[in-house]
This record gives sequence, structure tokens and C-alpha cells, in this order.
Amino acid sequence: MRIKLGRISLRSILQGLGTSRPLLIILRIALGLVFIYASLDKVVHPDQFAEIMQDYEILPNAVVNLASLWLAWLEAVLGVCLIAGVWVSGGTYGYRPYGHLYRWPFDRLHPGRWATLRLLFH
Amino acid sequence: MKTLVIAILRELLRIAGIAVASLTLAIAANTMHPMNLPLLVTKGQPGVPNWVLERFKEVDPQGAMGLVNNPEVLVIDTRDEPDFRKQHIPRAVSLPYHGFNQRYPQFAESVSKDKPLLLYCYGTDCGLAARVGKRLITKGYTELTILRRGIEAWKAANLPLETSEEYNEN
Repeated sequence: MRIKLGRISLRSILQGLGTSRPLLIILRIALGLVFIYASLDKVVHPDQFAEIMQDYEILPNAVVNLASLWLAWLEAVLGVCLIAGVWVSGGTYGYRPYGHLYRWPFDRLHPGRWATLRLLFH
Repeated sequence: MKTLVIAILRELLRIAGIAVASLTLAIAANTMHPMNLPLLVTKGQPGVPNWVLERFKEVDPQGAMGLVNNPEVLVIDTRDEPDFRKQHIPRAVSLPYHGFNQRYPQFAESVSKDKPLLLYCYGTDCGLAARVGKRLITKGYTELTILRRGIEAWKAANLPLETSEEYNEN
């Protein structure tokens, strides 16, 4: 599906937003804060998180404690990584080494068309 | 192609790094945490550390009958409230696991910390009594006894039960 607004397509706008460095940083930090907020209660009360996990009956009881401790801290570490911008992968291809590996399909599909947009957003 | 393989390897290395870092942090934090959960649950149930288990006394239904007849002991039903209203052990009061935080302030006002408590829950594999007991121990209660296999064992031993006055079948 393609919505055209003159020479600018919806796709080009979305792609422009996707490579907008300030926007990506804001969204990344917001997501990191969500992760850290979600991990707080689990880190402070790991025993109660283990109870909740036991009630899901997915894991054998023997490993529930370890899994609940690990998951709570994994959430916290991922949040810190997102905010600090270290070990961040995937959606941040715009300004990373090997970024061309992630970016090339869009470049190939629309060479030049959103080069101007990229100038605006970068 | 070669750069792609390197990029993928770098991603995997990152994932492994984050996994190892968080696991190390989790284990280190757990040793300093007052709960200090055992990493592998070998006895009891998840979320209830061994030092809490050691502070519980356990009784069978006959032993519990002696406590129920002792007016000094407070009997606590940790099951959900509709089940409590339907049928419960004589003299029991309801302090359900689901809703503990709402009910606890009222409970703490009326029950002193050194009061002997007998807790019970549904039965086989039921951990609600241990979960409520753990919360009571962290709040400062000291004399806790748990009825082994809960109200199921009590019923199996043909001991008396009570129904709340306000209970009706509808």
C-alpha cells in the first residue's frame, strides 16, 4: 500500500523518522525508562516475583527462583543499556558501525528520494 | 558476506554478554538481599527461602486440633474468601493470600506479634499458607505453625468444620 502526498510518500516519511537521530535517542531512552521502571519491583521483591512466576506453571518449581532473579536483572540491565546507548542493536542502525547492512534495502528501493528528508532529520 | 557473518557474531556476543552480566548481577544481588532465595528450589516452594521454612512449625490434623482447641492460638485461613465463607476450620479468621496487602493493616491492629498462629490453605501442593507465613514473619510475627496438606487433610481426618453465618448457596 502506498499513500502519496505529492512527491513524499508515507513510506518515505516513516523511513525519515526511522533514521532521525534525535527521535531515535528520545524513543530509546523512553523505552529504557519503561524497562527500568518495570524491573524495580521485581528487583526489590524477588520472592514475590518468584511466586507470580510459579503461578504461571511454565517452569519446573526447581528453577523458578533462579529464573525470576535473572529475569528481573535482565530487564534492569537492558534498560540501562538502552539509556546509556551501549550494546544497543537493531533499530538503531542509522548511526552504528555495520549500519549499511541494515540500511541497504531502503537505500536500494528509494535512492535519492528521501536523501533530502534525511538531511532534515539528521 | 564476511562482514555480515562478523556482524551477526557481534550481535550474538552482545546477547551473551548481556545474559551473563545480568545473571552475575542477579546472583550477587541475591546474596545481599534479605530474602536470600536459594537458586535451586530443593525443598519447600519457589519464593519461600529456607530461613523462613526453618521458622515454621508443621502439624498434622490431630496436632492442629489441639491448637484449634487452645484459645491462645489464632487460626488463619489463607484461602480465598468465598471458600472461607463456605467452609472453614472452627474459630478460623480469614487472611487470604489474594488481597493480603489490603487486609493486613486491620489484622496487624488486632493481633499482637507474639501471638501463636496456625495457618492453613487448600491442600496438596498448596503454598498459600507458606506465602502468607513468609509475609507475617517479615512483618515481625514469630510463632507460626502450618497445617500440613491444609484443609484437605483436615477433612480427610473427619474433623469438624464451620460455615460462616452470612453464607448462602447463591
